[in-house]
Amino acid sequence: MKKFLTVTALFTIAVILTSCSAYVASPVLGTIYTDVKYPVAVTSNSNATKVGSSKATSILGIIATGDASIDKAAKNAGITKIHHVDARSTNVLGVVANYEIYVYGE
Amino acid sequence: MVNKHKSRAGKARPTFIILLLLNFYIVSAQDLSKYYASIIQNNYVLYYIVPQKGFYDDKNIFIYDITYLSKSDSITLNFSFFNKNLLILDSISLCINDECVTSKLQKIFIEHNKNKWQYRYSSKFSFNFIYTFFKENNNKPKIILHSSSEPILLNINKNKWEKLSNLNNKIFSVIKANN
Repeated sequence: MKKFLTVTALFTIAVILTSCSAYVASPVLGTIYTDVKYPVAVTSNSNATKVGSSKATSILGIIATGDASIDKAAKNAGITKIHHVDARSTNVLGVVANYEIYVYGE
Repeated sequence: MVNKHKSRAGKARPTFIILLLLNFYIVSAQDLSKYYASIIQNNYVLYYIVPQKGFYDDKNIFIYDITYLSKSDSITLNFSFFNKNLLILDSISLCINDECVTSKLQKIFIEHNKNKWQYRYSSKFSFNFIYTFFKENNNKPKIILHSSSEPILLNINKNKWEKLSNLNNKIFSVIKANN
């Protein structure tokens, strides 16, 4: 009986984690924990003096909200010339996933 | 006897996994690089403290981020303030230990989203003042937004302030050490 309950509980957890888990784009995958920063774009403009960021969040892969566009990040810092763009992906146990964009420019 | 021992070992495994996961979370929470970014330019280093929240006025949220160019005297504090009313913000005061420093605001944009106005402004403060501001974790600070009508007083929860001041104090210590 105990074995049956354990197997049932593990099966339920597996189903929950596979069907309802938050996913975020990342160059390297971490099933349990992800915190990766990576490049998105580089331009020929020189010298960055301003930084702006934007963010989108997913909860359990069910709800996803936010504006993680380069446009929003640049606008937040009043950037008119973009130097380069970085991104950061974080994911904890597939429960909460964040995608952040960092725009450097002037 | 042996069977009992085996079943106990089996029960310990989920606890071990939970503790391991908690450890992952705690270790990542202490990672400073999660809270700021820095890039090396020709003659300076550009630091960016990612958006932080904690200050509020009633149900109106205040989110700020900080940009600093190494070796310069001033930092740039950009913020978003969400409010139901249409305002014209003029200046911002940061107050700690009954001392207030005021800075003129430069408008970045004003937008209307989900029944609230989003005010995005930029302000400048001296590096030393901001360093002192976040170093003080015993007394809660206040932020005052001066508008065309009456001033808006922003408060912060004591526990939240302790966390924020400790975090920012560490970041500014790193910046100071590299300056």
